[in-house]
Amino acid sequence: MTILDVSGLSVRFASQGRTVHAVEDVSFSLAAGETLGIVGESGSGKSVTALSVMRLVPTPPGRIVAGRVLFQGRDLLTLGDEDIRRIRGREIAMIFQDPMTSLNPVLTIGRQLTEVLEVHLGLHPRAARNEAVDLLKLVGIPEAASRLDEYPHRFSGGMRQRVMIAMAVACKPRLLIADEPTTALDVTIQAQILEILSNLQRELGMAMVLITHDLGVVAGLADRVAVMYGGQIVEEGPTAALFADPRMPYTIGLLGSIPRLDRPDDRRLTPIRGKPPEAAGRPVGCRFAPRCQHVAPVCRTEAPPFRPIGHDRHARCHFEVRLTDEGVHAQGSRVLSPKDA
Amino acid sequence: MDSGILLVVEGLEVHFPVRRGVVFERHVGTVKAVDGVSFVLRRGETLGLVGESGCGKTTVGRAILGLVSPTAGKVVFDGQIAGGAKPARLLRRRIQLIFQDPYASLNPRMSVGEAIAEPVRLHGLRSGETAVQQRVRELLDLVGLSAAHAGRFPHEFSGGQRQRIGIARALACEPELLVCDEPVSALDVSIQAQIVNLLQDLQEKLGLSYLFIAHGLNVIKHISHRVAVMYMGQIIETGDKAAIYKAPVHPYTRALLSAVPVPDPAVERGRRRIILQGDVPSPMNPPPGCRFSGRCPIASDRCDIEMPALIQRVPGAHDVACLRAGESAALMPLAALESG
Repeated sequence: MTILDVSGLSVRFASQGRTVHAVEDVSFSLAAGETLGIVGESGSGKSVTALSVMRLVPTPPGRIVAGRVLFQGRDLLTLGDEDIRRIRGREIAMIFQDPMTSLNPVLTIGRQLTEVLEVHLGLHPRAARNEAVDLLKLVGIPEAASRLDEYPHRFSGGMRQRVMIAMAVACKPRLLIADEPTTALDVTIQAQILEILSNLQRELGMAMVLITHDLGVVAGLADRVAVMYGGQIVEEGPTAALFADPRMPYTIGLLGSIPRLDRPDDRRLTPIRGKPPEAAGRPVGCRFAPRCQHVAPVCRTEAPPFRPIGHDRHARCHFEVRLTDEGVHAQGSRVLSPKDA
Repeated sequence: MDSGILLVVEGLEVHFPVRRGVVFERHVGTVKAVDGVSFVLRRGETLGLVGESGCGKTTVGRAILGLVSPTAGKVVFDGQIAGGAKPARLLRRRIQLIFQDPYASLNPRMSVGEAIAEPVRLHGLRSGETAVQQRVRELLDLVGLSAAHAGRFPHEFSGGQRQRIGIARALACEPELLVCDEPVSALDVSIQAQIVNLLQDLQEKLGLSYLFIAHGLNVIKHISHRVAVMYMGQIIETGDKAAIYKAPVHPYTRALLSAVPVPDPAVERGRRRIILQGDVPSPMNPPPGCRFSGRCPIASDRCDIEMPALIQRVPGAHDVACLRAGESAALMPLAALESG
């Protein structure tokens, strides 16, 4: 069953007299209990996409100019403020990268947790407190009952992120949006948090949108992956297929840029040349054309369609680009055959 | 002394006093940021110093540069005592630093050409303005920028380009050792790879030695010849890259390696992950025994009271500080990662 269906989403920001197309024509859908990983580099539009789903894009300067966000059949973009507020935090919850700035420093952890429960579920303060203790236990915080009366500054980064997760899952949401939930954390703490997230997801049957720049995190957790570049989804498909056989030159380049623990390191990395496009003044044709190794004249003039490639997969490229050799370091082994020649 | 040895760090300790109160300031404790660190760096070699935040890796780098005074121990650079004392000034040209955030380390009001020319003039490395400008063009070319960039200012550049400028400025001093403190952590993945390749090319061309400080185990593996793993101010395991990554012994190293996500769903889902409990303890009152004992899945009672010394397992290739070094592989199995 489809729980979230985003189609044709476009978001613009007015910045210094110019219009910035932060997100353009983004479409994806998510089944109940499924995890979608959205990967991309800074400025690719992944966070704005997430904020749009929650209708949290600051307006102005931002504006959702087109698209539809169907959550359990209802279009969130046309909902009244009161209705969307009832969905936020209760049916769709969100956790952010920096748990320190998302927690209120002058309220105890307990107060912040019970508030969610009292507002959304109408629990009695005492019941809410008991529930809060259970929630802290659920995310693995030791001595939960006594820590409830402490303030956020007493918690380490990993512990704060656990508190954020506890708050997010307090109402047993149908969908959790996690925006770089472990980016600010050390790798051993990241492993703890990712384990908690995946356990909770299984227990509660939540769907999850996991936004990250780390392809490793996505490889471990996501059922499907969407790769974003320059405000667009440039490739999308089931995780295993996308990693084994990436089809968009950007995805191939990204995988070739990562130093690997699981590969011999005698070869040089194969970086993508150039730099990511500026949000304003992006190229006319394919956004990736200026950096693409396989660029052809058509790429600079015509924007490629987001078209199906094989079973259940899409890519935004004029050509059939494939890695034929084993391994992403393989150079010069890609077969190019113009599709529309 | 081995003529190939460029840098020797011996028993380095950097302690910071912790004070409370404004008027009646009192000493309430000591943070042992670096607590007995020793290592050797050879010419043309990269030593990767890896650890999580707060483990003291940056402070080790700063002590080598003489930016903090060691509480104890010594830093010997090319046979001369460095760090803290006066001679450090003479050595400073030969040891340069590359920062994580190249934007914060460049003067926003100085053109890139000026920023690079400054150390060339200051150290008298070229005489005459034509020679200096010629050198600036050479350096820009060396780091993959063009001579046309010399007249521009830092804000006109992207993060990756700024890091190139930072590297050019460091190279302007004609150093022998570069201390690279998280040089790629702030950059996007596709740009990281460009900078990593640049650093490797420069090492080949110029015979530089690198102390590469980072928290990313995959970047460290890619760029280093030897690796030292730090935990709470101490090196707990060190050795050749192959030893650390293929046969890690210390429980912390094993857990760290198991926790790094790998961008391959088939590998990632079949992996055995060692999830450590708890957080790194406060550096103000570290446990009396092994610093890692509180989080270690195989710690014994002895680990809580006895501090393990760094003991050689493979002469010259692998040292480990763990009382249970002989048992960790059996008790904490780790799937072999590297294929081929």
